[in-house]
Amino acid sequence: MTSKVVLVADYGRSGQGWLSYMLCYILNAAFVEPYDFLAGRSYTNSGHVLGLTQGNLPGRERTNYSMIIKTHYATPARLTLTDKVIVLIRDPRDVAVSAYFRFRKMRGEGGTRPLRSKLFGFLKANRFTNLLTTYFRWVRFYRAWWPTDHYLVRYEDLLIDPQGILRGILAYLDVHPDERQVEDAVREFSFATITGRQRGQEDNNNPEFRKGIAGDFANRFSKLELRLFGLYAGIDGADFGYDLGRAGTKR
Amino acid sequence: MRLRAEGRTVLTFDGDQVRKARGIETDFSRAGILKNNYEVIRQCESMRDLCDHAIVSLISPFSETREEARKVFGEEYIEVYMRCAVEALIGRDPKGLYRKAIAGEIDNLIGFREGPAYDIPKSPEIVVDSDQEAVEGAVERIIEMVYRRGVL
Repeated sequence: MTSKVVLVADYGRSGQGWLSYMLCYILNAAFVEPYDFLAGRSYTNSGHVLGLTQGNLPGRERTNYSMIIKTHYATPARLTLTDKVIVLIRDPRDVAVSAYFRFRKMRGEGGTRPLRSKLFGFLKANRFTNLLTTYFRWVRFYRAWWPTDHYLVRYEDLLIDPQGILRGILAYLDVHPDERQVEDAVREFSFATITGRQRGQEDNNNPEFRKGIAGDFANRFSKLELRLFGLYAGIDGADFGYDLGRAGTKR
Repeated sequence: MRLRAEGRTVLTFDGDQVRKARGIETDFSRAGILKNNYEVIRQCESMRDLCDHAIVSLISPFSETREEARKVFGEEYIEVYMRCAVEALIGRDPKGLYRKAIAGEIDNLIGFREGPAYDIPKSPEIVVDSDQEAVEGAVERIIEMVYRRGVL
């Protein structure tokens, strides 16, 4: 049996871990986070997640897919690992809010930021410039991936109908597992199971899985920020299916 | 690219990326290199059932780690000795390391002057004289060896 790879590409802060874990469980594949792997670190501290995402589930046969590999790089032409690519996208306002909280958490821990981040800390520490910085990068990332052959998944859709989205991905991968495995995957990696919290409940000590909801930007952006963000980002956002022009409006 | 074009899953371990991920870009001590090499062997072993091939391109100047890799991977292990005249290396020098070594700014460039010694491989499967041979020819020979070993 050949070993095939599924590449999950997203800007970050878009549910990549959640989606990848569920796919690992269904495909009985191993999750690989390249940078952590090279550094000799584990991608999670959760024994529950680790036990289900190593590609060695007891009593389960292997599929053609042995690895789910994630990437945040905006360089699709250089990633020739596989032709099975899932591009995951999320409303950039929610991405920006999540990235901002993660930045604050990382800054609080100190010493973990790269030098470049420290140099531009004075800009990133300001909330609105931080949000805009994330947005610039978000656009660059998706502009790079948009023209490639891929299967597109929206985080907002994944929240509403995870089973349906997973079924679509599995059809793209030409894998037809038992429906119960899909249901089990959704349950095993539900927000409540992974974090011990209900969706919407915040834990700033866990920036990896902060709230698990869509639309939190409306609680975090001021009206002025929303207006400025919409003015600046409205045209770009529409290219990727998000209506950023008016406060609180989603596609 | 050749192997991937044939539908194989190929992971690459680049020495610079591994060092960067581990934050040991400047540790070229014997102990540091050995530790890094053993870690990469362990990581490749952990990926053995998950991919078809792993290409490891990193500094491995000590025969003990190469022997360890051969022991772990057996017939699947193909050692490629990249050989090059030091004059050609000084001419290339993409990272400016030889310039620094010549200027006396660093003294730990492996195989150069008073830097750590390089154990010349005794029985590599393939020797590539990178200052004389074209890349395409070397790739062809390596692929041929992969076929011959039956690991393709």
